Amino acid sequence: MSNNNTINTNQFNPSAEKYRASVSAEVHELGSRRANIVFSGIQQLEHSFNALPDDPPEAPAAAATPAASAHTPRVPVAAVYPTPVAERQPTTPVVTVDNNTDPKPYVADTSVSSEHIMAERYPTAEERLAYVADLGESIGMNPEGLPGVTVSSADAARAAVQQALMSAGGGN
Amino acid sequence: MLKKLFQPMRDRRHAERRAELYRNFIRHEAKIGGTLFGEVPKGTRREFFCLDEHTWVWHEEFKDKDGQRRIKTTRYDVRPGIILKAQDGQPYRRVSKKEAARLLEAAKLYYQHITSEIYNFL
Repeated sequence: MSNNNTINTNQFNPSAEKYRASVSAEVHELGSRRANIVFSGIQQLEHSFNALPDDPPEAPAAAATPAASAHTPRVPVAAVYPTPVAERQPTTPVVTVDNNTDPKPYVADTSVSSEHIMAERYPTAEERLAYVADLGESIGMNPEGLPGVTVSSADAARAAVQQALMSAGGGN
Repeated sequence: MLKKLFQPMRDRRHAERRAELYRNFIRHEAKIGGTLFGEVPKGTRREFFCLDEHTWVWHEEFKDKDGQRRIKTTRYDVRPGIILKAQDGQPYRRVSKKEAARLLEAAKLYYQHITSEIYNFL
């Protein structure tokens, strides 16, 4: 007596086989793509690493003047640095968490941040001004702090944007 | 006729399935990446993965000394000649050569592990 509820896995099912084959091909394709992306990422990382200048030697804390200490590489309150196992000594903690033992105040490094990002995202002055005006409008922020943009130029850009909105019928 | 009618739906499902599969690859990689830095403390979830060619992510969830759940995400943006680091809403910061060396070593180990544990069918 046969049980009709039992699925016979030996029976060839063209539709299921086709599905399995397509999934397998996709796994292969996407896996291959991921592996290539990671490999490419490592290559880019290596290029950037090779182009990095050497770290400046750290000055002894006792000798540091207040002005110099502001430029000393700061340690964030809780910095987590990837330290792969191969590099670590067995007794070294895996993750370095600085529990606020560094008496140096937190100093935001603005030398790289906004200058670099802004220049890349908004290469032209017009794009940058439009962005600032838009930002200023949306959050009411004074754009004075943004690099390369003065309050007056931001005001002008904001006015231009406002004018464009008015002429488009969207202003108030 | 019916086939044509359902084609867009099938295409969307297909795209969703591919996207899900791709995300699963990254999730799996992230778990493997989290093990590269030694034993993960109890109650801590650590992930490290390559998001795309220019971005590496370190994600950690842990409990602080007061028992509060904390999440720390660090993103490394790799650009020509410079590596920037963004950590939990702080401004971008230039990565030192020492830290970049560790990151590079971690990335190489990551690649070794994922190719042997996930992409060994390639």
